[in-house]
Amino acid sequence: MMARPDIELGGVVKAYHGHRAVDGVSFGVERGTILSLLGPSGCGKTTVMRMIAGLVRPDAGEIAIKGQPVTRVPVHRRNVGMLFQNYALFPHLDVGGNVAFGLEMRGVAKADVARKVIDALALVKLDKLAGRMPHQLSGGQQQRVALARALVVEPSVLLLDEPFGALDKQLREAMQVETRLLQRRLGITTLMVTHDQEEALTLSDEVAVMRGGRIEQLASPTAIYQSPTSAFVAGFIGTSNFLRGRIVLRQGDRALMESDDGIRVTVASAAAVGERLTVALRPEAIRLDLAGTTGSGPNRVATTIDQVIYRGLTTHVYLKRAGGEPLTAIRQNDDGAILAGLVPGAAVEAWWPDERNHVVAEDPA
Amino acid sequence: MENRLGAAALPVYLAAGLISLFLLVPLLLPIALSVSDTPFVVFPPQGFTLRWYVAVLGERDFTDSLTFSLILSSLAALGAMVLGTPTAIGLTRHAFPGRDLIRSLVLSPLVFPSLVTGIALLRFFSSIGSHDALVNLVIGHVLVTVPYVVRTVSASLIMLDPAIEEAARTLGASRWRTFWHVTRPQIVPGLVAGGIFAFVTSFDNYAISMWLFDAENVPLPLTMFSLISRMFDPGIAAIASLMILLSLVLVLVVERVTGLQKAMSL
Ligand SMILES: Nc1ncnc2c1ncn2[C@@H]1O[C@H](COP(=O)(O)OP(=O)(O)OP(=O)(O)O)[C@@H](O)[C@H]1O
Ligand SMILES: [Mg+2]
Repeated sequence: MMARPDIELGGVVKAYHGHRAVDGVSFGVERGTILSLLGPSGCGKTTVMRMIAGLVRPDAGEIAIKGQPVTRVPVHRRNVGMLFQNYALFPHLDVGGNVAFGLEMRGVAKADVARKVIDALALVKLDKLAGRMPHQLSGGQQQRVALARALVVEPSVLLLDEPFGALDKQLREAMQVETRLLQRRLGITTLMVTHDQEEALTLSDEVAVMRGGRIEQLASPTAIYQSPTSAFVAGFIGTSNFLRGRIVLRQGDRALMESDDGIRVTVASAAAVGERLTVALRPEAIRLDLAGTTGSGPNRVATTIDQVIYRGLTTHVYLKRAGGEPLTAIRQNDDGAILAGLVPGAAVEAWWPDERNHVVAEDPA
Repeated sequence: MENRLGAAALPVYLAAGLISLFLLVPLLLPIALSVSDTPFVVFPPQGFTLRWYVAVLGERDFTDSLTFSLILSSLAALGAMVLGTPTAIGLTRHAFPGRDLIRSLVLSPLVFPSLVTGIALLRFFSSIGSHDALVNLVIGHVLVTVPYVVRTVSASLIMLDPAIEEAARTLGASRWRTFWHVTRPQIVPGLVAGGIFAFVTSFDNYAISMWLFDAENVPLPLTMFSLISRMFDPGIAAIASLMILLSLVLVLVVERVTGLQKAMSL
């Protein structure tokens, strides 16, 4: 039997000044997994998390934690562990005092508090700093204290709001790995808010892409990247070339689409002839033939190179078609060198395997 | 801190010295005069004696009045702290219609002439039949000192990150325990500074007290005024010196608790 998800939201709505910051959000986070809410600034990620914590009261909808409805339960009885973006350590308490706070609020016996604080600090490798004040700690250390403080009370779920945003790149990556390992080891159900897509893809079991207060797509990192269902997701996660056009031919469960600017692509679609479609095409799917125009048929197009940008591991090639329409290709560099012949002005044939054409939903707008 | 003034150091020190002198002379003068071993106030002071202090401390009018003022100002400061703290929390933490108007009203005694406030209070108290001078004085002094507490506590609250209180809430603290264990320790310095400002302002107040005192309840500034007009020996300088000493002690306390600059801000 499938257990109920540890965090469940059903039709949750929150409006500020008549504008729906969260507009009917429903999802579940399975026991022991990490789900990331990813989306552009202002799309409502933090508001969703704060409603789960109880810091914001939803206008409509239901929230349950570990199967218990909590919509009307006040913050301090929800037993959530929350990590704030700026860590929010208590400035007047030392590290030990910060970690002990939640235990003291729960009336845990003094001797047990001391032991649990030491264990929690050992968990985040800070057992030697129990006597320090928060302002005497580095950003990374503060974050560990905040994590220990949230975990020591054995919360039902862990909520992380942009937990690594304030750290520099190196430290951020180290803390990401560490947090993930800790989460796995404790098996704690976690919801993370981020606007860093790389962070979401590397740390999560599932990613929910939000936009304008709604969830646009919820899927595993690979599915989100490889099969985005909307033009927004295809453009927000990584980059995509978009081809917009009409179905001109049907054959079984496949169809031929001709884009408005003349590229013909084959897609798996049940759409009828004449219907409009949008196809997303990842830049790394595009192969470049320097021999010039050789073949004809779908999924290929003649272009000239507009710009070549070397990125170390990859080279970004900005192409232009006869009518000036852009197309971006990304090629992996062999031995760190740019492919010979990739120079601005050169004529190249761009082509790609037809399974890389993804039909995506257009904006309703 | 390193000295970065370089060649400009001398004129800067000179100017700073002169300004300090200008500020300190009026304060140091009574102290010098108060130890003069002469029957009248003379300048320059001659000899050295502490007998004027002894005399002043034996003067019933002075000691009664000092005791009364200490009680009055303590009660006023306490009242200002008790009323000012929730007011500051309400004004900084909650958005409600008319907030700016209420803030202006609460802070208005800072700019409103207290002489007028005093008359108004006198009329008010007599119309409601409130004849206890101490009660009337405490109410009047709380009215004019509460803005100091509201300002210093608001300043501490604005500097307190709301996420810290939210963190406490998620860790299992109710609203009240969050206030007690997290908010209160953060605003204590502002509260103490506001309380001391309130005390000093009340202790120094003349304009309100002159309308509300009676023969049994005479605040110190009123007594000093009447003493000056009938006392010609250095005893009056001794009284002034004692006042300066008290203020100095309080300023040092504020400095120790919050740092004067921080307490004065906002
Ligand atoms: N307390 C509030 N009062 C009024 N409007 C609010 C409040 N909190 C959030 N909003 C609005 O709700 C919308 C969603 O805000 P939210 O903080 O959830 O976004 P977010 O996705 O977390 O963005 P970011 O990535 O910038 O943190 C925004 O338009 C914001 O202005
Ligand atoms: Mg946010």
